[in-house]
Amino acid sequence: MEDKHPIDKLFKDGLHDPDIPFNPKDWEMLSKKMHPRKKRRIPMFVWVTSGVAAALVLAAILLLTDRQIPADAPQTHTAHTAKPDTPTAKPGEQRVIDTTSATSAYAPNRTVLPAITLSSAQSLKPTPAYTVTPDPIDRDQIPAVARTAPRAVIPDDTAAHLPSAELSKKSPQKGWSMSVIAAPDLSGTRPLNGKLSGNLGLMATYRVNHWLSISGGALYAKKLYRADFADYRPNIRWGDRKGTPDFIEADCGVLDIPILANATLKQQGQASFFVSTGISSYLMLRETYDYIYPPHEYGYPKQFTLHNRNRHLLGIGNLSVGYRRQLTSSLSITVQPFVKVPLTGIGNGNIKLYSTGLSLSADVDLTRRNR
Amino acid sequence: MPTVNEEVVQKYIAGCRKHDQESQYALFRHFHSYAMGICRRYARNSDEASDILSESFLKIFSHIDRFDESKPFTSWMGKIITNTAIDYHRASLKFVQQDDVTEYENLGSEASVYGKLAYDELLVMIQSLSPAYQTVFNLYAIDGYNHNEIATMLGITVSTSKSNLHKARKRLQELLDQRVREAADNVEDNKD
Repeated sequence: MEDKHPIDKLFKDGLHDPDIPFNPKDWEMLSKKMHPRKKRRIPMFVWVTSGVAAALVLAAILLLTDRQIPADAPQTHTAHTAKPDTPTAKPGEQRVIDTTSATSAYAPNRTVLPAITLSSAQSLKPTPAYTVTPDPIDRDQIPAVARTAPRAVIPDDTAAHLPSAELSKKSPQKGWSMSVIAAPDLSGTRPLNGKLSGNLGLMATYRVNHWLSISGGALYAKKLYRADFADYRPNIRWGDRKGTPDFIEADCGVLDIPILANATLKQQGQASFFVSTGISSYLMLRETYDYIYPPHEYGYPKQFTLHNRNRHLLGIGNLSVGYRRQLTSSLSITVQPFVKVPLTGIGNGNIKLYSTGLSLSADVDLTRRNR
Repeated sequence: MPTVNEEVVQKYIAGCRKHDQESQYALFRHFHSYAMGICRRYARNSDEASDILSESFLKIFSHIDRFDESKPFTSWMGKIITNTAIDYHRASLKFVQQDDVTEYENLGSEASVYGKLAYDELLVMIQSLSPAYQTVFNLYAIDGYNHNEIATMLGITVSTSKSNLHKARKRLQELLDQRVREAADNVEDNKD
């Protein structure tokens, strides 16, 4: 075979070692192929957490639904089966149901409705079709109503089975609410300083008593921040690379999972003031770092992206004060200035990343919705 | 003693051996142009080229411990890329079997007739070859392997390698001639 055939030479000279501009997408493709497993792991964590949260909320709703039926009602219903046309208490006649020991405490001057067997569907209905008041005058009407009412009839004074103090603690105090949150903030290496960033997400709050509640949730945060190169401390020394940057510009997509305790300081009518503290975990979904070199100096890497590489469990402290305004019986809005303080280095550069901002949320009280 | 690889490349490789992602990025970035140049020559289009590139670097990073630092990194990297490209097309490689060598003497137009062609034009021509012609032509004409080496790499005979090279050159010449004719027609049109 002839050496350096003219066609070979033409194509070799034209195609050998061209100058092709760098395409960051090629690195992204490679990066994803290098770390496929980590990508699956994060969604699992999120799904499990969301699933648990959803299950807790559902359980709470069901629990609250049960609570609004008289505490001893199931016993009463099984012990006494009353048909609609069963003779009921005649006006003035006292009729006490034996198994209801609580009613006997209130019994002497009151007529208590005979129990009506409820179907399973009816027993879940928390809303009474007809409320019977303890007013003695109305008592005469009760038997007729009892005969004809198709749904469960829950006398108001059934609630009085419970000591009133206990009642006031239980139904309006404990309960769940859900919040949708939007929070702009400044993120940087110092508090009250940095680049404008944003957070968006959901929180579930459980009210333990009249002053304390606990919250948990998940927010997606786009954190933009700049750091002096001196603050950027990757786990492997930088010294092996070409050139030294002046500073780093970071663009990170973060899943923020906070766990908070909230304490009400002051309640004034529809408004309340509270303080909140807790801990967040940051799952760094994506980190993109731009390395900015001194003018006229050349160095690289220039840009570098990581996916699902770092996670900081319980690595950020949260502190905030808040003002909540109730708009309707189940809807409130909250304004909450906050600061997030790093307890550990964040991201590839182990940077101390602070976020200072203002959270705005719409809160739906799930307990009141069922009334 | 002169270093075989640039000092900075040696440092990137050292970082890659420790699985440092920034070193891996830096190495990838440093050789991206050279490596992509190879991938494009062996691919049918740019998506394939990107795929071959990422598959090649996965192998490079996972086998970096096998790299002998007394040799040039570009040679080692180039070999991994060509092997990856061959594997990529292995299913569709159909080699022309031809033992008659007399035909091989006929080609020989001076390439200077074609003038200096742009990189993109040459790339399109080489990418339009059938996978078998494209692979053999690349290995012999541009990457400098001989027919014995090519035969071993592709699992074919030496004469099959020679005949596929001949066919590739013939096809490329047809494309070049067509290009020259089109250029001449354009000049004519512009005169009118």
